[in-house]
Order: sequence, then C-alpha cells, then structure tokens
Amino acid sequence: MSILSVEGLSKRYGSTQALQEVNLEVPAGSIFGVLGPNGSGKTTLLGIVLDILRPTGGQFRWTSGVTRGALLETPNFYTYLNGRDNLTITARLRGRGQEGINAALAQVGLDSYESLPFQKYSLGMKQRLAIGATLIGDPEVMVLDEPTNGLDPAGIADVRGLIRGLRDQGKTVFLASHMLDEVEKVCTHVAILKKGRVLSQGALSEVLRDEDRVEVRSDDLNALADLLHAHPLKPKVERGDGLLAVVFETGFLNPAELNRYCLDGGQTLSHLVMRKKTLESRFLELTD
Amino acid sequence: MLQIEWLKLKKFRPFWVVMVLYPVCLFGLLVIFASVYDQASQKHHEIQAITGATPFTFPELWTTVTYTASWFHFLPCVLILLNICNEFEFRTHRQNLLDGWSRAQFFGAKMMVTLGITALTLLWVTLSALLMGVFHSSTPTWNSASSLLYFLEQSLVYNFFALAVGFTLRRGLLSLAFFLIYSNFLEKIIFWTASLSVRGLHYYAPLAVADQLLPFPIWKDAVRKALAADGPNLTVLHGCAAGYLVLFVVASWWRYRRADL
Repeated sequence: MSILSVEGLSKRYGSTQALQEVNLEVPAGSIFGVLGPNGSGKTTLLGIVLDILRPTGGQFRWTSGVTRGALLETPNFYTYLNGRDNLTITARLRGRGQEGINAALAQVGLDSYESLPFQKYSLGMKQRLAIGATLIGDPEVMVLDEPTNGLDPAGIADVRGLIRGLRDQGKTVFLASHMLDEVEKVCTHVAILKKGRVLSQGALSEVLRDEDRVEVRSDDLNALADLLHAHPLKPKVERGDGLLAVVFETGFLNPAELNRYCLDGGQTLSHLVMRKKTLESRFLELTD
Repeated sequence: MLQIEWLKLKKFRPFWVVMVLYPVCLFGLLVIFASVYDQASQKHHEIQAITGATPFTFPELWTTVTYTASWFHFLPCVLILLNICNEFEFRTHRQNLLDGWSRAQFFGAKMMVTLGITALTLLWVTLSALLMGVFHSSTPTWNSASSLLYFLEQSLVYNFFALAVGFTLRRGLLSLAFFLIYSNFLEKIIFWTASLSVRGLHYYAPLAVADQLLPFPIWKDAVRKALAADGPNLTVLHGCAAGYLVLFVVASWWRYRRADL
C-alpha cells in the first residue's frame, strides 16, 4: 500500500523546468530515498508534497489522516528562543503538550543544550534540533531533506541509526539526499532524479540489479578471456587489474556453472567473486 | 493559534520595547502638551476662549488623547511588520506549515496578532486618557468617547496595511522602509499628484481616509465641516476605511495562498 502517490507532478520556475511529469509510489513502511545531483529537483519534489511549493501540473495524495514530521532544506527555528522553547512551539503546532520534548532532545543529544538560544547553536546542533523536532508527536511519516547536512561522522552515524530505528518501528521515511552511500545504507526504495525527471525507481535491489557481474582469475588470463568470449551466453568480458570482470544479463549468471565451464575448458579459477553493482556506479551510469 | 503566537512573542524583545515605548511616549507627550497648555492659558486667559474647550479635561480629553496617539501608529505597525517578516526571513513560517498548520491557520494567526496589538494600543490610549483626567481632576465621561472608536478604526487601517505590506514584501528592512516612506511621503505624493487630474482624490488615499477620522482636536467640528465641504463626509470615510480593511486582508491572503513559500 502506498502512503504517498505522486502523479505527473511538474514544476516550472520561469524558463526552468524543475520537475517534469514525476510519478512515484512510496510504500508504507519503506525508507524511500530520492537521489539526484544538485539541481535535480529533489527539494522541489519534497517541497510540493509538503504543500510549501505549488506544482504547475500533476497531483499528489497522502494516505488520509497520516501524521508527518518534516525537515526541508535548512533547520528553521526562532533564533531568539532556546531549543526547548522552539520544540514547545513545534509540539503545540502538532496539537501536543510538553510530552515527547525531553525524549526528542535526548534522542538527538541536545538535552544539555536545551536552554541555549538557537542562534548560538553550531550547524550540527541546528540540524540535530531539526531532526528532533520531526520526532515530536511520533509521526507515522518522516520527510527529511538532506538530513545529514552539517553533521560530523558521529552525527551522520546517529542519523543513520535513527532512520533504521524508525524503519524497525514500521514508520515510513521519505528522504532526499545526494549522499549515495548514506542512501544505500538505509534505504529500501530509491528514485533517481536528473533534471527533474525520474530515471529509475523501485526497491533498491531492483534498481541496482540490471546485470550480474563476476570477477575471475586464472594462471592464463588470455586463455581465460578467449574461453569466456566463447561462452554460449555471450557475456561481456572486461580486463581489470590482474583479473577479468564478466558481465552477464540479469538472471543468467550461475557461478557454479561458470566455474565448471572454465574447468571443462582447461582453466582452473584461482579467484571467483560475485560483484553487486554499487548505487554509486548505477547512479553515475544513469545520470552521466 | 493565539497561544502559539504568544509563545513566539513573549521572548521577542521588540515586542516588549514597543509595549513599553508606546505608552511612555504617548503619556509623556500628553504631559508636556498639558503642561504647556496650562502655563499658556494661565498667562493668556483668552486661549481657552479661542480653543473653544479645555482639551485636557473630559470630554475633550478623549479627542486630544486619540489624536495624539495617532502620531504613534508607526510603533505597532513596526512590530506587526517585524512579526510577519521575521517569519519569512527565518523561514519559520514554512516550518509552521511543515509542523501542522495550514496556510489559512498561519494567516489567521497573524491576523489575530494584528488584532491583539490593536486592542493593546486601544487599552493604552484609554488608560492614558483616564490617567490624564485624574491629573486634571476631571471626572471621566463617555461623552465624546466615540473618538476611541474612530481611533480603533484608524488603528485597524494602519495595522492591517502593515500586515499587507509584510505579507507582500516579506523582507523586514524593505517592508519597514516602504511602510515609513509610504505613510509619510509616498501616499501624499501619489494621491496629491493624481488629484490634479481627479479632484479630491487625495481624500480617499488609504491612510488619508484613516487620518481624517480623527481631525485636530481644537476646532474639530469646524475642521470636519471644512473637510466635508470639499471631501468625503464621515459616513463615506467609514465606508472607505472598511473597504480598505477588506482589501488589505483579501489581497494579502490571495497572494499568500498562491505563493511558493
């Protein structure tokens, strides 16, 4: 079941087409990452589904009555108020009382800085407070735009852990990021955007799996290459650093059969490793 | 909504500065005027006969205080502009929407703040008049207290004009500069120039309409009569003021409802 459906969403700023006919389905309980280079339309997409920006075409629909916590672009708080006062306003806007504020402050490690004015927070602390604010009221969906911006490595690991924790609680997280490693580590689903268009989307494993790749090595690489070129499935053979990368069409690679084929052809493999395509390579392949 | 706005305002320093400065300036100026008037009328007894009434005793005191207070409209207006423009400049209005408010709720909250500030200024003006009455051993009477209603109407026009400027321009410094230049010079320049083509048009400028509701307290009836001979009468002024109020609210909401935030 989708918690958010986006149909034909478009957005134009003057002569710039920021989004073009974007269609997305965000499954309930998924960690859905929107990936794209700077200016690809990630924040615009999030801004529209959060009702901050008006689309020039298309529509979106959230599951009725779903509660949301959101962080869009930068942390936005009242600079003259301290962390606790700011979260009190957030809680009141969500129709909540003081409950949950202590937990949110503790969860993002700001409980000792709650009385410090927001303007004195470091960039990382501001980002932490913004993430803490999204947790107030225990929303069912979190929409996070570049949630690790400004965080140090420990902070990034904390946010990653937080997102995994949310997934374990069955929450849906819809996040935009250009940090591929971050997305690959936490997301169950991805959409790759470029110049406002969705190039690929779906479960992470589906987006990554468009070919099967294996690395092999034997004592005679030339003979091994000739043997692999003669394989009935016509795999692509690439020379690497002292090994060969063999790429089969998706679903056609059987490592045991390949090993037997090489042995029958007189080549004993000293190295055979399955290589999964990384999100980074898939991303670069799609966006280059 | 007003409770949430109070959470934002209660630690906002400019709010307290204006809340203290407004009554201090108003009452201070009234004390100076009264002292000058008292000294002058003791030396020259004909002054009271010329002015036609004693402006620092009731019922004329209502008119004197409200007219004097009309010089300080810029103070609550500056506060309203800061309250709105800060939300845009620090993007907290976006966060308010992300955290659960609709655009209508945010706009409604700012209207309520504007109404609340207007009510507070009316309270200060009323208290200042009563206090001045005590100093002059004058017993309060509600006769001529209609000036308070005119002051309220005038404040609403000014304050909602500030709200419209804030929602339209969004930038604090730009909005403040525009408001001060418009209210002091620009409106007069535009409407006086236009009135060369359309006679009497300057009487119908937004802030001019509000200003005419409270004429100079001494000889005010004569002033009103003179204005009515050339410009709009009181009923037309009330109608125009109400029209401008509706225009400011509708225009601000129309822009805010459709805008990318």
